Amino acid sequence: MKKATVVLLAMMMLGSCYYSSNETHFVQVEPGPEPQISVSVNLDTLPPITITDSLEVAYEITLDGGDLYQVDFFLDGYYIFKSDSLANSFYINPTYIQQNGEYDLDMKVYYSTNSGTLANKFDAEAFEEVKNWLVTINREEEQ
Amino acid sequence: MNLRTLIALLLLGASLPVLSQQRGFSVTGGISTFEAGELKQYQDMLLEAAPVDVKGFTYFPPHTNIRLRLFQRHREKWKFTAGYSYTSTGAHGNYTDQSGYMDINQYLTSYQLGAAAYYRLFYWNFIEAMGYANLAITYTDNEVNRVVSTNTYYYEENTLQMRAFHPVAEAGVELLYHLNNYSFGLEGGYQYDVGGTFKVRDNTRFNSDPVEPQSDLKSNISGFRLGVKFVLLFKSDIL
Repeated sequence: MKKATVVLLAMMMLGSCYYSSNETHFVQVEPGPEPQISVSVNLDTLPPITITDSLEVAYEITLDGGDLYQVDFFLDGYYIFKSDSLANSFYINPTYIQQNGEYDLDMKVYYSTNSGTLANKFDAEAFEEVKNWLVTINREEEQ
Repeated sequence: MNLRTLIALLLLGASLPVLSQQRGFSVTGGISTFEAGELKQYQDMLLEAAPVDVKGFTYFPPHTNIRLRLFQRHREKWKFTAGYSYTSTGAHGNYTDQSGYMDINQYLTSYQLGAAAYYRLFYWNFIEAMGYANLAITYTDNEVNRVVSTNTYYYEENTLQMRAFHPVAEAGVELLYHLNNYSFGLEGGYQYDVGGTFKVRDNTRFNSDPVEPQSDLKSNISGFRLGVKFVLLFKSDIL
């Protein structure tokens, strides 16, 4: 019995000697200057926005000292358009919404932070620039 | 006759049954050192390829070695053993800042099956010294692992696994103090890696390209071994 116990203990030793190391090297990163962004959309120049047939949305982004990740558009909280271009356009069709009425149109622009941290290096953090408009959906009923 | 054939014949000869006065089991636990020259260079390459300043902390340091052996004595001066050996070591690099951390690690694990022949050098007052030569077939696994984790819930893990099959040879000395059914003491020697080359076994990509070695790496787990030995006799006669 004693001999079997010794052999069993020896076998158990095998699983307890795996190499591991947890040392860390901490660096306090001083962030770089924040990127300068300017977003212009054709909707900014329109009077109250009413969509009866279709509406073209065109945007242009100026970004200095950073990288653009993504531009998203949402209508009433629903995702309708995505792009990674600094300038682009698309059409909003009133059939996106089932009922006529007023709805929020939101634009979210994600771009790099230029912080110099690990998250910045792996594009894992971003600044967000938001613009929104109130649009009226007024679909012409088919006769 | 090439080297592999010679090693196979010696292993076969060491395993033949012989008349014995003693039969038993031994456990040796101690430290192994590793040369691992090409693996250390590969670790430096991994650290330099990172987009941040990763600091290397350990490069295959001396680490644990465990040996389990069955043995038979032949007359007074000879002993033959067959057994299993396990050892592990690795390399570690880390970078941490206020947004997260990156770890670059290598985990080297080596498993051996081998046979050895011991010859008594001297015996005095229950203290015995024996010299030994050991031959073994080794499976060595090296796992290369890079982890990135940030406070923004970004996580990336990339793993590259390499393996090598290769023979090793070892020579050394055992020093034991004998009791009735037990013995304990020290065992140490030098192990020479005859020549193992890693082949990539598995490469998982997550979010970034892996950093594979530009050519096959040599295992080179040559190094010194030293450990505390405990011997349990199944069948004993007074020496």
